[in-house]
Amino acid sequence: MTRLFAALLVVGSIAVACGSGGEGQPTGTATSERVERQATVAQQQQAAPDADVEEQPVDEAEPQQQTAAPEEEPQEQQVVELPTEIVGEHKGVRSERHVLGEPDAPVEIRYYGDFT
Amino acid sequence: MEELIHSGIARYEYRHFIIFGSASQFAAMATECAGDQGAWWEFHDAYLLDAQARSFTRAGAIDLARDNGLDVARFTQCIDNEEHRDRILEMQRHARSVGISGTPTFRINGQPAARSLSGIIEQVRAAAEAVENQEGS
Repeated sequence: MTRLFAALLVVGSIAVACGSGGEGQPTGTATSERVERQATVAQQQQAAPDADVEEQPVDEAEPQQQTAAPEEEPQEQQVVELPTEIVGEHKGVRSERHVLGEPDAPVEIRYYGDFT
Repeated sequence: MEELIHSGIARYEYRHFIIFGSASQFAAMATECAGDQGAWWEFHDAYLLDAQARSFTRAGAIDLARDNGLDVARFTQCIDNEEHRDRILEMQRHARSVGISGTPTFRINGQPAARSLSGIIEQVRAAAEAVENQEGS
């Protein structure tokens, strides 16, 4: 029973994340206004990349930092590194920061999302 | 989908891709701060599913931290100091570098995902079979 509940919650979580859109953007039964809004904004973003994106100045500034002071921006810092994580269980599944499931699972389903 | 995760065939990974500005960025940072105390997925679920949490306010995040039994002082310091800002922005840059331009977007073993949930499930099964065949040969 607990496993069923956990499974439903995981599916619910993923289903909420799913919606309509373009490539890699599935059409789920739990399509919400949020997802539709995201898809709309995503399309707007694709039409006008970087518009209204808060990190845009950082993206633009980074190459300048690299050229101005490369020694202060070591190569390793360009890699997304997640620190050693607390491993636990969430809804009946092994969990750590960002990841649900076994780390040696042969298939990785990666979701790029925005909570709002 | 959950069967694929439960059975060990697939793992599910969430990456922040901020497209809605400061509220989005705050939610991502609060989730990372919760992750420092082992509650990343509790915040993830709340921010996706809980209407109250979806106000994305500082006070709401602190309430959520308290509700989840976190060290509230540590959590508050983390969000106020934006301790995970750089990590989130780096994640964003990395996503752009691999061609991500909007949300929601899925990748299956790095490849663009099907357009439907059933298609994704089929894709995951096919990828798992391919790995099994590779290991078997």
